[in-house]
Amino acid sequence: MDLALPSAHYACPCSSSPSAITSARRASHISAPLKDDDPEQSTFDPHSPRSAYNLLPLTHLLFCDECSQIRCPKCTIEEVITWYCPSCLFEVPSGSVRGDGNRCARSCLDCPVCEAPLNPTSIGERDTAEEYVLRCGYCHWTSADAGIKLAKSTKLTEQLAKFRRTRVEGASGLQHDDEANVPRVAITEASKPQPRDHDDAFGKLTTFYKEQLSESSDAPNPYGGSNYNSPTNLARIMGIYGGLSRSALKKSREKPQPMREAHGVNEGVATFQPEEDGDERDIVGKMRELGWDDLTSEQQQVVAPVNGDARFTSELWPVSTRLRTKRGKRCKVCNQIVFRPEAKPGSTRTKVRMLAHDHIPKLALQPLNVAARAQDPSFIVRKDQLYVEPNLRPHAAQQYVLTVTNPLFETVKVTLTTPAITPGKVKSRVTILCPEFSIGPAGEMWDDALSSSTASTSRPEDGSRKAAMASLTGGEDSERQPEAGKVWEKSRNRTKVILEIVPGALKEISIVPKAEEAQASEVLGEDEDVLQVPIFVRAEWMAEVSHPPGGKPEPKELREIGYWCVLGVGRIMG
Amino acid sequence: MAATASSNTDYFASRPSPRSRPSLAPTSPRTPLLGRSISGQFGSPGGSYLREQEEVLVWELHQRYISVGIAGENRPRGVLRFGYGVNDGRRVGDWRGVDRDAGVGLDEVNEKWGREHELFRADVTDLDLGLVEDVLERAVRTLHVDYLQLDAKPRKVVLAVSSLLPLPVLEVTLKVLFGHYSQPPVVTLMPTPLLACVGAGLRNALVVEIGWEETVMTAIGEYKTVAERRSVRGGKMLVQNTSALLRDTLKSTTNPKTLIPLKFAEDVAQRTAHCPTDPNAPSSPDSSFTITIPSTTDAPVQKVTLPFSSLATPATRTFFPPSTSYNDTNDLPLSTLIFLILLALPSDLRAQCMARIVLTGSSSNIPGLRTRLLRELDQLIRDRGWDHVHSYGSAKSPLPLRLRERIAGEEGKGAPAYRPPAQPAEPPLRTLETPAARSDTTATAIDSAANDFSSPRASIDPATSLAARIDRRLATQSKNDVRGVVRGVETLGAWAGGSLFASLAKSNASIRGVAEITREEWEKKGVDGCDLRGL
Repeated sequence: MDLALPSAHYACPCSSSPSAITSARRASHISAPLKDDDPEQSTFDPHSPRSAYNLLPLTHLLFCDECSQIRCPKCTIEEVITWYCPSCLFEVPSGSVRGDGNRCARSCLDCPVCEAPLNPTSIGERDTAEEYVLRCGYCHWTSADAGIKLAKSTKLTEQLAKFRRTRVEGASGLQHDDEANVPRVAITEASKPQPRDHDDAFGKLTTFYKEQLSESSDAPNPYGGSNYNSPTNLARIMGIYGGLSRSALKKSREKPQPMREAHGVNEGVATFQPEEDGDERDIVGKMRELGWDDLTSEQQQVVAPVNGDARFTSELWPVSTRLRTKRGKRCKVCNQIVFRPEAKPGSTRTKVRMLAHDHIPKLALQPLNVAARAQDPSFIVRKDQLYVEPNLRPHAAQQYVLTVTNPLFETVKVTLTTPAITPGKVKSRVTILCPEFSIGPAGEMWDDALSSSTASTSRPEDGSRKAAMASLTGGEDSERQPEAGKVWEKSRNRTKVILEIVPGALKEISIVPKAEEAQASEVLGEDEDVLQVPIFVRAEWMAEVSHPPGGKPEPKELREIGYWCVLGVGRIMG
Repeated sequence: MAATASSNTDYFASRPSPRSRPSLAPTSPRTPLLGRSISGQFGSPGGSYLREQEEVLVWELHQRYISVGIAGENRPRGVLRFGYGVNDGRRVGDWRGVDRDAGVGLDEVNEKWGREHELFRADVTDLDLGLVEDVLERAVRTLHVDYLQLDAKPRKVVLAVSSLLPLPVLEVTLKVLFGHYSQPPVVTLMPTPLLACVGAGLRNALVVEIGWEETVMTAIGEYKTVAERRSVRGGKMLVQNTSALLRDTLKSTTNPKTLIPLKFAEDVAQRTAHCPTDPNAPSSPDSSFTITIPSTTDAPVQKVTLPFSSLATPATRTFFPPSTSYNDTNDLPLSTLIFLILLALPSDLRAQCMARIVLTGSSSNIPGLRTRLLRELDQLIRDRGWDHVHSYGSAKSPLPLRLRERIAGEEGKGAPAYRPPAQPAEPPLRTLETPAARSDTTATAIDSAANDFSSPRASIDPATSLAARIDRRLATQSKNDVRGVVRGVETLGAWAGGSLFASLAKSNASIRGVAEITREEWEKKGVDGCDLRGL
């Protein structure tokens, strides 16, 4: 995968406004020079690491028409509409989602090694009882490796849970027997080390703490949902106001016992001594024996919390498929719904969809020279069709056509501003030949095609015969020269202007040899040689104010929107 | 809700709670305190019913990862490691992270090595807080959307952070959590060593947290941090040493590859690191071990073979360097560090902590590490005794006469100035008995101190008397109370401890976090309004 150059990314205004974290206070901690706090004054730096979190393709942005502002994933509230399993598309009712741990409770399981879905496969002989194992179609892991064989090919998750429980209980039952025989002294206990199960120990510790808390309190758990129970209430009131029973009196004479610490395996404690290392020697021996591929990677441990302590792949447990959700989005400021899909998991339709694509002027950059026009790597499907990143020669001026498209049904006045020299380590010069222009309103989808005959008239200043010919034949007008202050081309809802870019050199040549630190600071990081032009787009239009039906139409009001757009141009050659 | 909470609190405020110091006021029949609304208890059941149903989210923030889950569950719902996501540090739609190894091209001694895998470093001098905020914000959002999948109801949050988390980072974290659309009403802060102690089921413990940049040792007495020491010998050094080992091995092969990406080195360290439990044991027949080097899809599979025993060297070099004489104070081997922190403790707490060494942290499950650590500590105690003086030089006696006199004189002089418990409050045990005998003497000494306490004398050091008072309570169950021997206790980890804590605090209002920050307070005052003592 490569960067799809030329590209256009948009910055949501929410990233620039609240980000100044009490910068005045910061000064006392950090001596670094403070940047200009005013987001209006500072230019957007597309090379800063923060920009990766703020720049989004236009398709990822929504728009709130109440606030008349772009909304990115950061400034929307998400609310879950449906939970569903991506594997079986079963819509999980909201009540059971939490209990199942956001995982499919039916038969969808993922391979713990490679995360591909598992399938139950019969391994039983014909005459014996049938048995099933789970097999991964991708990496050929089978659950027999972990010693899991199932009796049925349905309700897999349920069977697995039962299987695991019996395994854990078997281990802890053994501990019970051990403890009955030996006196409960910690040393002897620990001399018979049992691999402690995390879940089991957690349960035991929870009960232990709960018991201790209720013991250490002088009233027997007063709020255990007993508010309805009037005798208990009465007893407590009696207890509070003097009518002390015998036991309560006795209890009150005693000193309150603090919660003690847990002891022994039954309370979820496991200890280890310096004398015994048999356990760990065994593990090391096993590691040596089994080799690299049978040791779990960190990814396998992290992807499913169940496998958090698994050291060998044979200890890995198949995991139920994590549920996915369909979510609606609301504006964080005014709580208006900006996106709402249909609830059915299979449906891709939406009920509410306020895309930024339909509300803000869109920018696209292409070289003026047709030959240099780059392909979009997303459209390259064949392997022999190589994608060539557009390369730029330093100090060679290039002209680009910037197409600004208006999705609104009003005429929009657009002002583009850009720093004359791009921010970042490589300094390139950028000039927008015509920074102020207007774009016509968008119409119905077919208007464009139907009114193609009028397209030629949309170049009023250039109504020469040649231009008309060019537009008819579809050929590019190669002799035309871009002029400062003039729009390059204008059609119904799009306007093209010319951008002149002089890419800077990756290494500045200087006669004086530089200090080492300066050289080190000049080393370019990833993508710092990509020429990116930040452009602040400001659009103004007169919008119709919504009025009650039948009411008097109100005068149009002025709306405006401003946002940073970063255009990726190409990679500068060294 | 608030009314219920307060009504739950006050009446039982005098009850000893695990989180607050045990109150010594005797319980007697008493009228309930004024100023509370009884209606909360006796009125509608709604409040308390909701309270039970209410979910609390438990977050754990680490330099390398962030994990979240619901209180009362035994494992986190989701763990995100920084720098491992496909999109980490990249724009949306930039998929180059899928098939390229990030971090290639940096030596492990380089300052920037592993930077993209860390959220922050302990040194925050030139930390880009805005970037930290962005990364955290994205992580919190992803965890909420992909792993928690909860509705937008406000939920309380318990946040487990490492002790001495840099304040700017803490501020940013709180800002992200309060700024998230789930709108938590309260964020409760808990230090991870304390939660590891809860997760082990203990009240007193010596928590050894082997983290990424640092190993932090915290002595905890009665759920309070008593002493703390740090060492740079942690997971990062382990991975660096592993990386160096791999590079040296690869240099000699036909395919020299000098730069090892962090992901690979970490994977090797995580899978194969081990520690010989006995450094002087005769080496068993060594076998070779082959590691597959991850590569892009098209390249042929590369392998590196090295003797299995050499894979033990990174861990040994990291945690148990051979000589300790020239180390800086932040560079001490773990066993020495444990010894020093135990030495600094009052002897009764020391006896307890010795037998409750809890290993936690991401690198703590290296096989052989814990046994080696306990053995070295045991050896150290045997060699040196509880003596601050390492070498007496020409003096022969381990305890010179005049020193003994001085100690005696000081005790006779009356009330000495108050010393915090982190300082040695008592003369340490000079003679070295067998562990069993020593634990006996400790117990009897404490018993006598406890008996004496009924007639308080002015000369008793407040720290000592407090320790004795605490100890008297603990001495009641001496049957299971192992002291004075070196012993380790397993823990469920900081996250599980946090989950335990949060689920208990949910039903019992007397359990309090180390710092609780309400939303109103945060919005009004920010981090300045937060009481962060104890973190």
